Amino acid sequence: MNRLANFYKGKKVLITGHTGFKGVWLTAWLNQLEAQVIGYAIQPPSDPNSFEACRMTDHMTHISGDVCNASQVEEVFETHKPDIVFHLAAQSLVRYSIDEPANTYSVNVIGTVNVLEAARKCDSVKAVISVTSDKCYKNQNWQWGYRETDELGGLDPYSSSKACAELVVSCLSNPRYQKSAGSKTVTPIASVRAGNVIGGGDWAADRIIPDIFRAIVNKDDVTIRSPNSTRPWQHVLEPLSGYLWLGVKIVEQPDAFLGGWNFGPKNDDIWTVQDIVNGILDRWQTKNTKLIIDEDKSGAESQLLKLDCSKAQQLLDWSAIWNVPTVLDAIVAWYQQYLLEPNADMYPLLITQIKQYSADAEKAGHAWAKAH
Amino acid sequence: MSFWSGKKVFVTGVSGLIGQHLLAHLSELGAELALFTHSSIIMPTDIPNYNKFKGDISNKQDIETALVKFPADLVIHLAAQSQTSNENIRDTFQTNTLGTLNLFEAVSAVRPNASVILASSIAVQFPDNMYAPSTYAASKQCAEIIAQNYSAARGINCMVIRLGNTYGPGDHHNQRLVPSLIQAMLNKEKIQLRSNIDTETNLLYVEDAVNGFLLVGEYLLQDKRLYSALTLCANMNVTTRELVSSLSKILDLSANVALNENLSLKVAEHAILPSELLVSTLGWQPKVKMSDGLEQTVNYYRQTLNIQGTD
Repeated sequence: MNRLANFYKGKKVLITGHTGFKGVWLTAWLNQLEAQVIGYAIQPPSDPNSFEACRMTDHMTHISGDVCNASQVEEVFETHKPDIVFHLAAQSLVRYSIDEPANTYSVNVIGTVNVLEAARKCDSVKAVISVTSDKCYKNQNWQWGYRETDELGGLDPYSSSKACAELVVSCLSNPRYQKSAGSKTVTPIASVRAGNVIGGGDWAADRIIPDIFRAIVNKDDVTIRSPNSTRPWQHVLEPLSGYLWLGVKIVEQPDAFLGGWNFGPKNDDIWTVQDIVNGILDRWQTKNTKLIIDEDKSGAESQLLKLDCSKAQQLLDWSAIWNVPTVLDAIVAWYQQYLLEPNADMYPLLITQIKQYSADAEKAGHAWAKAH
Repeated sequence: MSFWSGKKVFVTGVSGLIGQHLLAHLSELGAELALFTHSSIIMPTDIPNYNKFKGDISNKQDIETALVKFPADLVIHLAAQSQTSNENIRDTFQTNTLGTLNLFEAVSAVRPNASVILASSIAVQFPDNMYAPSTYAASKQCAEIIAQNYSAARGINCMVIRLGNTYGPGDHHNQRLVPSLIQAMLNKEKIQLRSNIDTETNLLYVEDAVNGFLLVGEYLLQDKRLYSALTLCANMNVTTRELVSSLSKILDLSANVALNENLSLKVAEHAILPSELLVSTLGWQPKVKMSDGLEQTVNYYRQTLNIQGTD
């Protein structure tokens, strides 16, 4: 049993947005750690989706609801009295946000106010991890990685709404605010900033991995707009290990692990969009799908994005574990099983990959993965 | 003929301190005004004619309908919830953040060539990047991020004005520092402070603030500059102690301050100064001396409270 299992076993954990790609992986991991998971979210974001492919309703308490509904959010807290809260519910698509900014800001800003307020008012809650994005930083087009103290902002509604969500956290996590709002004890709230998470089970629109597998299924080519763009690609389990470990540390020492936290890959492991597509197509060994480059110079998405994860490295002893080839192996394994075995329950593969990742982390000597 | 003659100006938040003074000036300068307001407030009689649109800033459709009818050259967005409390934190973000989003959505849908001035506050310039000092500051910084987004992504010509603490005749927010001090003194009540008496405040007289809005509006309409955030404030801070002493002189009575050593002392870490663009390019300076501004304000509260000073 590693230190995460030692902590989460038997804990009540509330996840908002558990029907999303990241939420499913987090739920599976917490189940593997023997936590009791309660999820609050709207319907899964796509069809197909990993929530259904993994039969998640068998593995948790699933509550259907919208984070914009403040009274229902409070009711969920009052009924289930969670120990730890992971707030993942968000409108997470850049392209959609350009067409629907109002919905994006409502969910990402007011939704965060609702969840953090409900958590503050609920005595059982010992730690809240609010998930925003690495896109919350104002793009400076510089060559350095963004640090947690850098200026917030965003050039598309999604990024800007995540910058606003960060400000909501900075306001509601303030002990002075909480005390003046009538809290007897301060509820520790931290925000986590990761992005470009990839892994099995994502079917969102306009994301590179789902786009590649849709193309493979349909025997289409993959067209990319920014072949040389780099993103801090990382397997979804990497930031999740950081979120889970941060939850442990906050409960152990409530005032020592607050503020924002970047979780990103190592700086020598940054791949371009082109490399990712070729890596997957090579592994799949398909002749029906080719890479087409149709370069878009409008600059709609920022070209250079790198995170400085020194804070997590120094204070949490956290860093990314899987290199990009390992990540691509895991992803291809996932989608191949899904496509070759129609209607297969994908949950066991989630657990297998989580165990593999935890074993690799233990071997590499990461603090959270050590046997307790 | 003034620059503003015939200019079509759409204003939200007309009943606030700045709104009242700004409208009086724009009207006198010949601007054609549209007032967007949620209440059926009675406007001062010295504004002869204006278009009035009843609506809610939380409802994008209301703003859009008004802007369809009124071909605004300039939109001045003053509407905000400035007196925030812990019970209405959701409303604060709803009004100040999503209200600003609604405004920009409506402008970009209906009047994409209009210029926008967003009123913000020096409160957003907080040095601590872990905690926002107040709900108000956080909600306003979110509004600025939205303005910046619409300027960059949709090309809306926009400037943000970060105001110091504005005071003057017509302020209905009785909890603000200047109105609360004057009213307590006029009523001969003990003054209960919420922060240490040596806490510094950047106080700006409303007429100076309005003058800044007019200069920025003129600049925006002529020059078409894309997004920037300007600081419109006094050149120096004043302590509550100095403020009370000035008011004592004007009112010719001694203040009865409940001194409380437990109140935290908030001292500005660095002086906040008006933006270079305002001072150098537009030639703006605060012109009204604090003693004169306070006297005007005291006279207003004397009349409205119907209290006689010591003659």
